[in-house]
Amino acid sequence: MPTSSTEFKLKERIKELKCLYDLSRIALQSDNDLKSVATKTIKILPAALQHPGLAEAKITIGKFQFSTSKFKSSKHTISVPINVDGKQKGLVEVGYRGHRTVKIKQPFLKEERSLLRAVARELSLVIKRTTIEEERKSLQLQLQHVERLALIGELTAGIAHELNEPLGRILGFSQLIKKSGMLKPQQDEDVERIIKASLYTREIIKKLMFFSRQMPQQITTVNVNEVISNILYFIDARYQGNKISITQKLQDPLPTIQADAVQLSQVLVNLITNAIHAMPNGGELLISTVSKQDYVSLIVKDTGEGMTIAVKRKIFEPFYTTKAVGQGTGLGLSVVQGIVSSHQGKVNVQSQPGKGSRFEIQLPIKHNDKIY
Amino acid sequence: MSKLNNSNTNVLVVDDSIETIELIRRNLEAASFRIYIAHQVQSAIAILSSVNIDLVITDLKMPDQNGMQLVRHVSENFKHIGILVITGFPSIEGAVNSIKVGAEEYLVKPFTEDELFNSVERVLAKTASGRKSKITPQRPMHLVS
Repeated sequence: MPTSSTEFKLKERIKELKCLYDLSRIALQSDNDLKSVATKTIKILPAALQHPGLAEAKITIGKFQFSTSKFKSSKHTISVPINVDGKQKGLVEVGYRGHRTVKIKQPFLKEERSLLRAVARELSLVIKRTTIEEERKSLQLQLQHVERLALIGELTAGIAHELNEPLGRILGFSQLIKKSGMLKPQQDEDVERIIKASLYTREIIKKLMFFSRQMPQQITTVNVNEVISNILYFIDARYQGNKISITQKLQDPLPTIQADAVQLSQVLVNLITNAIHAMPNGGELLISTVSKQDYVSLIVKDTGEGMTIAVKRKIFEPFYTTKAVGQGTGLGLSVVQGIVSSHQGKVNVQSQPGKGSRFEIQLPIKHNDKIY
Repeated sequence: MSKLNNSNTNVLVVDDSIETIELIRRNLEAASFRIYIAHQVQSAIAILSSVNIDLVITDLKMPDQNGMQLVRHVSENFKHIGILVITGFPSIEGAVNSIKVGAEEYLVKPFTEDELFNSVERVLAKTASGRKSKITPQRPMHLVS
């Protein structure tokens, strides 16, 4: 049948329209994700072309490729980009395999090219819809997380307040007993244990307060290097003899930031303590600072046990701990994250089991700050 | 400094909690401070008008009047008196405000005896009447993990 005949044109038009109709049906099915839309489109596309028996199709979206089985042996091909908001996100390609009896003089009709453009447009809409849907799901998850944290925060604030009063009495009167100087050595030791337990409990409550954001921030101009020096002064003494070598690699000068120095100290102490706990047989702890255009980074890196992906995923959840009962509250890193996000900062974590972990805290530099 | 030096220092402790008052009283008395006690803001004001107080230690939350009113009253009418505010964690913001109103220091509950003595020493050092008191040696900062 000559390609100029009305019958031929009509037949081709019907095929194209059927393809477009099927495609819009596929795209509209709400349970179809991008992958299944692409897979189904690949199946219907060859039938819309002049030589369906020889036609092959391929759709590329980002790093994913979907194609008919013999696409690679196509001799004549055309392609149309899939653009989303002016950016190319993929490609639709069709082609014909060579055949000894069928001679393809004019491989693709004008109508077929416009069909391909229509397919690319439809896929672009699906990509857009999928992206929006993914963003919505991610936002919903974030919202649920925030709501859960707010609820935990409210509960912990109430509990912490109620515990502080009796704890103050346990701590205060124990110290008075100890000070009386009338205790037998064993009693003295026992009272000391009560005092230590009270102080430990007080720190847990303090963390709960940090966590529930009950501690107001006192923002001042802070040099992160100074925070590190102050903290290491105590840490060094505390972990001397633990076969842990602590190295500092601080950028000097470092831009100052607007932050709560006490809270940053808390972040650093929590990260260092975790790093040290991750190295029970000793190791190297590297604390470094570096600045980029918009932020200052505080990096705590250890050569300890590292974390599996499953553990890494959970470390910021409140009350999650890998330590034995009584050894950790599971609040350290959620406090870190809480403080860092309240400073509009970011926490990046890299970890490999057996090799160690690296925590990078990025804190924004306000533009009116100067390097001193 | 000997305990004798503190015996000239009159401290007014204001708190509605009997236990907190007892803790502060026994600790400070052991360091020879002279202690006066009030459970309400009104009775604290009455003591202030009859005794030459050097230091006021007050809670912020009390049943009759807010401790902040006492802080304001002292800082306006007795400029030589040092003020130490005691607060629970949730009212730290209030404590910060109290410093703006006139308190020298604030101490967060629950506190250790060292923290109490250190705060008292700082307030006395800041005020005009600041006499050095006998203070137990400072311990290094307690780090949390």
